[in-house]
Amino acid sequence: MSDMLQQIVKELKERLPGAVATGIFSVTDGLMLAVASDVPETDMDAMSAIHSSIWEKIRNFLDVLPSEIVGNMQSMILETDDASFYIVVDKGMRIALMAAVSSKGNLGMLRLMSQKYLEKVLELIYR
Amino acid sequence: MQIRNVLQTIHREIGRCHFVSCFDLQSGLPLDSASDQDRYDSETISAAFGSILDLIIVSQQKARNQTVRTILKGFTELILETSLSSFFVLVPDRHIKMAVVIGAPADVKIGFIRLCIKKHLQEMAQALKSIMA
Repeated sequence: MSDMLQQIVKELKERLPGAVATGIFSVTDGLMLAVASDVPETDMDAMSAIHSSIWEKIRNFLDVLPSEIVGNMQSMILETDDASFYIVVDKGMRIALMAAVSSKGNLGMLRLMSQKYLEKVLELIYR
Repeated sequence: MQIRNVLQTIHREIGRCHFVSCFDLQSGLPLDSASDQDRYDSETISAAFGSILDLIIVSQQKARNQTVRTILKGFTELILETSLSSFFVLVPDRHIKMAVVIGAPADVKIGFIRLCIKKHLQEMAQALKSIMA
């Protein structure tokens, strides 16, 4: 299954215009399941730790705001000068798919393809 | 233009909006807000969003990997989508340590919210600068 997950992130990175990195994380423990990256010297442990911290903060955020407007977390878009990051999580908050595109990338395409590939991942892991 | 006017304009243009708020990134304290509903007090909103921005700022400084640090340094915007709402956090001008946060129901398209924000980005930056002056 590990090879198949790796194949999925690789395929997403190749098909997504402007993609520089894609990855699959376990939301519960923050560990990375598969990754494909063009970024040199990418520290996977650091990425996992950052990802895990982000989800912890998001949980805190969801706890603070009134429940009638919050609901369940679905996705996050982080934009910087050089890149856009999209993290989409499944309804059960188990698996997250992350994709990063350069500033030339398209947000609509990023969202659409990431959601489509998350479904593929879920089917592979939980079918 | 005063920041409250800009926040109210964005609130009105989006139409259905939980809140539009502005806060100081260093202290995490609210500066001003526009909201139809009293229950979304700006202190709660600031506390919630402040923790997320804090993470980004801390990650910029502490990330050991140069690439990760560089990526996070250029932070401009964060969008969180939940089953009931969309939340935006943006820094209109990185030289001014202030952020604007917007919450809207999930059925209001994020592209539309983003368009409304982008339209008023310059005015927001100007208004924030005038607070600092």
